Amino acid sequence: MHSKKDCVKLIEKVRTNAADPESAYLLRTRIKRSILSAARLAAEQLDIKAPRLPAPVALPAAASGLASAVIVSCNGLIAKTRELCQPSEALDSRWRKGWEEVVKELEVLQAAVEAMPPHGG
Amino acid sequence: MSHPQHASYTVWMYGSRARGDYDTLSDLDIFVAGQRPQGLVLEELVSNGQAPSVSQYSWPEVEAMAAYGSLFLHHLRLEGRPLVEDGGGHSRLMQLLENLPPYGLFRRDIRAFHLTIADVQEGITVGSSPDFELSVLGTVIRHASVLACYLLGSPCFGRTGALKRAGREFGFTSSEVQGFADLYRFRLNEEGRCPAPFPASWKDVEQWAVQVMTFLIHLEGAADAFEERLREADREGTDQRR
Repeated sequence: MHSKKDCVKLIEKVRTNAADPESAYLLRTRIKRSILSAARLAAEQLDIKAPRLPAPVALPAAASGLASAVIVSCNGLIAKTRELCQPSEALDSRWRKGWEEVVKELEVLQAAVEAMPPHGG
Repeated sequence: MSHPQHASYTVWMYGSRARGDYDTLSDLDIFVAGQRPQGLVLEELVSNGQAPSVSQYSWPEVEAMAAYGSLFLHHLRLEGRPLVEDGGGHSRLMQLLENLPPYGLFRRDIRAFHLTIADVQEGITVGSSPDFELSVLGTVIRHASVLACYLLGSPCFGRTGALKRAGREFGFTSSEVQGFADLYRFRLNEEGRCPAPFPASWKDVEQWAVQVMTFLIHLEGAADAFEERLREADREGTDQRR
């Protein structure tokens, strides 16, 4: 089981690369991993099945609270990054253009993860 | 040519459908340069009813890609098939493809592959899942094998064709090459295109990370040889101009 600290570390790793992305290739997988990590952490708290892959997670109808906010943010990021990704070639120029929006959403995700209580607490 | 050049566009098919070696896992790859008219329904250009996977680029993006000899544009040049165009889009693209320089970002790609594998190894401790990390490794091996074929002077862009060609050149056994092909199925699984080839574990991730690293070492050797060939061609060109 991973911790909130691990998850935040992953998100920060993506955000710190934002200023000078080595390549869109690397960022794509790093964002996906951050989303997966956050969604798995939130799923544990919501007592729903943890996703195996970075894909949109369906929230139970009655779900609310801090962990739900994390899932909502993850789902939003998945949609935003999909728009930026080409199936053919990762374009740095396109990433740079769309990056601001992704960074904002990552900030929201990080804040949501940090606001979650420790699991079991 | 009824439109000014800024309104030009061209739509091409590429990938397995264009090559004719598609299978049930193949998608329909469509490339669009320029802004296609809103009324143009891509599904209607190809009669099999499959939803296409579309790569849409603006002309400045295509021109920027051409400047560094984009591997994707090399792919398009080798096996792309034009479907529809307007405003001179086809000839505009053809001109870029005909003057495409050698791919120049291969060192950066190899660095990114290495960093990606380092991330995978770290992923074991940070709440990821074996399925996702095997998908990442599968993606790296796929891209690395396409790059390898190009650097070896024998471009191949097929899903398994590139793996077989590069794997053979690098001395991997056929069962190891098949293993790489299975690994890529985790990526297809991530895209919802097929089930995972086997139940994934962290031990698999560790083992495959090492195998992919070994492939990258061979890839670096191919990159060195490619650079040497470019230098040699440069020297010959300089001598001829004298």
